[in-house]
Amino acid sequence: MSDLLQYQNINTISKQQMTKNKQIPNSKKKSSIWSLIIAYGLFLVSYLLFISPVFAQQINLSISPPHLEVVIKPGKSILVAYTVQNLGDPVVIIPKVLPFVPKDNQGNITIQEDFEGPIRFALDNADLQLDKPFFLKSQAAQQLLLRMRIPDGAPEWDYYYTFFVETQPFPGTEGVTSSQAQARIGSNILATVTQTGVFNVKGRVAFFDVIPRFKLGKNINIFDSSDQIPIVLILENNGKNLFKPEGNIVLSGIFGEKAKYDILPQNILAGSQRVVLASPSAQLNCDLPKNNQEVKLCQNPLSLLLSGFFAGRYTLSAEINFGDNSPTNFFASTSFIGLPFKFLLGLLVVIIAAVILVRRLQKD
Amino acid sequence: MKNFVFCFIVLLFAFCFLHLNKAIADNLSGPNYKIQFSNISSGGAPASSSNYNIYTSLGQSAAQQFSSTGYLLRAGIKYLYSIAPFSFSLSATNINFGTLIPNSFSNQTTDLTVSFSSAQGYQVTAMEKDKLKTLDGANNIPDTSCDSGCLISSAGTWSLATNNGFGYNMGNLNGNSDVPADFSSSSKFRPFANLASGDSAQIVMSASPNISSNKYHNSNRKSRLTFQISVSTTQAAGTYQTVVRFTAIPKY
Repeated sequence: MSDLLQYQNINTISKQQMTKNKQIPNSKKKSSIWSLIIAYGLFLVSYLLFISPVFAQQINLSISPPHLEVVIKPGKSILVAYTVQNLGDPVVIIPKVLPFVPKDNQGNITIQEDFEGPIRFALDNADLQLDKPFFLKSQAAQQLLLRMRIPDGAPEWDYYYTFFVETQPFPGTEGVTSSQAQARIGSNILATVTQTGVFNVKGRVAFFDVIPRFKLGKNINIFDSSDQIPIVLILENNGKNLFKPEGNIVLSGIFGEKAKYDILPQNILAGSQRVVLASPSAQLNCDLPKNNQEVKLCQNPLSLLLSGFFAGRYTLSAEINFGDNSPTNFFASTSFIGLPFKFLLGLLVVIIAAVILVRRLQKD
Repeated sequence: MKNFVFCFIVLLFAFCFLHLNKAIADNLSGPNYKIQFSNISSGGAPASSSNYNIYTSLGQSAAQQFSSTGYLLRAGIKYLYSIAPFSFSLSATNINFGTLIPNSFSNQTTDLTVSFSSAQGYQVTAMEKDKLKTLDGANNIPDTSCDSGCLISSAGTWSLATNNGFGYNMGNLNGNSDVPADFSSSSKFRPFANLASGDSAQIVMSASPNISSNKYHNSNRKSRLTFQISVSTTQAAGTYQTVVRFTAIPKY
């Protein structure tokens, strides 16, 4: 019996203690809630701060230098250091050299799929070879030492190549229809092979004219006085070597006023044409063309765009030198007439409106 | 007569004020500023005699012809428009179309970004190595011919999913006008040029040295390529895959 009482006492005491334990003061409850909130807050902040966002596999490569021109004798070789940098995810890349041909008259090219030409290319890096893949980790750069060797007896001509690196595409996801993207980034090499250092330059002006708003007959180009005057100058290279034209386009008005625009020295490759640029030029906003004329202009490559108020007959003349080895200057000219159509139309509207207004006033 | 003269003068003034255009001076700049060449030289010109040619540039570092017996390497204003790197990025390389539902479109995108410092511009071409094919090559998804015809070089409207195929659309992202003009809306598509069929790669993005465009920011020129695919109800089940090659090159 006493044992039972003792057990009941013990039980009662322990229950009281448990009740005591359960009765936590309100202040302690609040502080524990707050500490929970703070803990969760800290967790959330650290999660947001330290967890980097997840992106899809991406490629980001750069190459330097982006362009190379070399004049070289047969039997010689040179070494060019390229730097390829990987700013994206780790990639396996393959360095290659392929020839290219000009695609159009705007400096675009078509890379040929098969190597041709006498120039021999190789990498001087001890551990890397052309057409062999290598791994480039993220944020890493690799110097590629490209050796160009011109064999003895190589024909004296221009040879155009693109040195590029291409990524190996990642394997597709199994069981999912997909397309893998492969990236190539390249740098053009313009090589002139010459024994004597004398270049074969045969240039000509293939086209020099304005794109008129109206045309009378074959030769009379007419613009509204407030129109911008678009000019196209296309040069052609029929020689064996590239050249860089120099010169200017001169605008002459009927009262002897003149304005000169310099031609920018761009490469005209052997056997190609190119629309050359002159500066300073007015500009168009091709994203938001205002009228059909502007749409037309945005679809055409232009050499120069003149802005101003043109009244009367103007002459445009181009004087061009086809580079250092070209002894003579070449000339071409065209002309246009600026007439104030819009102004005259406005004047007519004003006169008619004035007549109507006066008649009404007289009636009143 | 007095009234007429008075009215005429008032209306003429009104007309003149309405007709006034904003005066814009000719300039060398774009929205942020553009100089065609990346370095302003204070002088320099070619000179020659019977035994030598020499090219000089003042006000520019490391710009000259580097030569030795038998070769001549040209670097600098006259020869290289920039020594700054040319870069290209693709935002996604694994373009998963998931499970295809017959006669409904599935679309995926990747963003193309180019940074160049050359005044000559750049080009990006695209071509597929072959049609979307099963791994054994027995079945393929045809390249699109759009709703009423489109080619690898000219886009056409493709809005009917019952016209099955695989194609792409291009759109400018940051105010450039670098994608071909035939991608005039998001419903214009082209089939990819096909390397296996002997097609030549097509330009999908370029900055021509076109002085009529005032958008000549040389960094981060961005566009979005949208892949679109639709299969027929009779398309054989399987996993179809291909590789699309993008080539980014500065202009010469």
